[in-house]
Amino acid sequence: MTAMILAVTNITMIFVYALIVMGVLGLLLGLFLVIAEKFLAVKVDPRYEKIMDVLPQVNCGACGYSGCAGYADAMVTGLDADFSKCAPGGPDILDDLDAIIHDFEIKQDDFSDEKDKNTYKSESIRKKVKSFKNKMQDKSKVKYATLKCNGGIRAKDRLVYRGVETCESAHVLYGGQKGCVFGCVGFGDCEKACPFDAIKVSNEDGLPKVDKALCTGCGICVDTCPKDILELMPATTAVVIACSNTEIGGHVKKNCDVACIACKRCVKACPENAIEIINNLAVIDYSKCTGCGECVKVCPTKAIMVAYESANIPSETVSNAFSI
Amino acid sequence: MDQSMFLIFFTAAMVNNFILTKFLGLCPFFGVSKQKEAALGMSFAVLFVMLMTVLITWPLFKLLIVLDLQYLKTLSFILVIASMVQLAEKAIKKLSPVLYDQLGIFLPLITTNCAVLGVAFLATQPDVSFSYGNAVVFAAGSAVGWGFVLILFAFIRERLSLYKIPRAFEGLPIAFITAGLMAIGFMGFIGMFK
Repeated sequence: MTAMILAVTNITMIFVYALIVMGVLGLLLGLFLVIAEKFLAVKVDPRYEKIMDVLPQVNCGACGYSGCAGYADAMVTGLDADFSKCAPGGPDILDDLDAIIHDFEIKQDDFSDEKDKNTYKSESIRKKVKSFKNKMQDKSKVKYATLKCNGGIRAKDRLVYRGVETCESAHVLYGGQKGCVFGCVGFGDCEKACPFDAIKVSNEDGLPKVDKALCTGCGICVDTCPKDILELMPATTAVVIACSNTEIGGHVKKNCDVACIACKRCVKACPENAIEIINNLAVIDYSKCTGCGECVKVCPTKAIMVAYESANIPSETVSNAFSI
Repeated sequence: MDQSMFLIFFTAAMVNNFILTKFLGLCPFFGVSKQKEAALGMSFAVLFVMLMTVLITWPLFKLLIVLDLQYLKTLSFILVIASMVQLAEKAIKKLSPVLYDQLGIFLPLITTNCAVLGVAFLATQPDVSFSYGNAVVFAAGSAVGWGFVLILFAFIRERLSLYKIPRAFEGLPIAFITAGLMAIGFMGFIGMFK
């Protein structure tokens, strides 16, 4: 040993010894881990990894499970047979999920009956996949985030706000800088929270605008908004009360021109009696609403906005009112 | 021999506590201490890793001295620690998948835990020159001390989450203040042994 030490004067030998020592160490440890793997291997269902590849990995919780891993786990262990719970994944991943869970190959292209017979192993599976696809094409199941406020720039400020420019911070300070403490403060916490970049605060009116093409209805913005004025509404919604202010009409008017003043004209105009005034604010019962647009026509402050399904509303009414 | 082993164990655990006196291994200290079960699991994982590490690195360092390659100390120690953490990960995944999920990212982070590298360095310090047995006892004591303070802190933090704390202090700030107070408390152990 001592002879070896005396010989290590040559710099090449130092490198060589270093390489040998590290190499042997690495090899031994690697071998040790390989042997340990034999005893400590855990059997994982291979479908779990495949499903995790298909799921969008946003971890929004819209499916009701704790993140994409939770949903994948539930599907693989058979606890959950409903593949349509993933809102961001949407109808596109249904076929893939079904194919992975039931272990068959999926072919590309549309469903035509001839192709079905070759692709799927049994009648019941074909029927199940078709029904899932129909469910997602059912518009009432598709939801968009909707802002129940039309104030923004139209709503007057009551104080000059100098502070951290987030909605949460502004809200903590006596409800924000606007005269109406129920309305949108416009600092864009929802914009920052959206994992799909579907919300952008508009420069024209200081309100967040939701892009329908990108919004998946995951609900993260709804949870983020400190004023609770974002709501998930189905694509079949025709009209929306774009106000959340529960103060009396006279007081409301001082701060915002487009607020609901609870004048009750919409209540009288609605042929289905779908509107009620609760706490100085109009509330629509969507089970009765037919989307005729009469309320939009008579609202003096234009507080009722045209929403997604505006087919039944006359075009003149639509052009005179605000739209989402 | 027995008395000095107990001395080494107790000193490493309480008097020179890794978290409260040496301020090593604080990352998982604040990260895993939100729940008692996770804290307990983490303590065992770190105990396992520290023991296995010192068991291997003490003879390894002696070998490096003989070959005059002391500069490879850090590199080879990290290699050993990483392998031991891999082993611990595999074992925990097999024995308790629940704990594995609870610890999450903090389990592989034990590799970069300065407390583990710290114990490896301190056990092979030339001026203290532990024997093999003493080095292992030192590692065990350090790990037990680390784990003990972690579990204690987890108990406190769980209790703390039930109280109304000023918004600016919620979460980490109050945790740091609490840890500081605990450190002052542990100062009472100084001077216990001559």
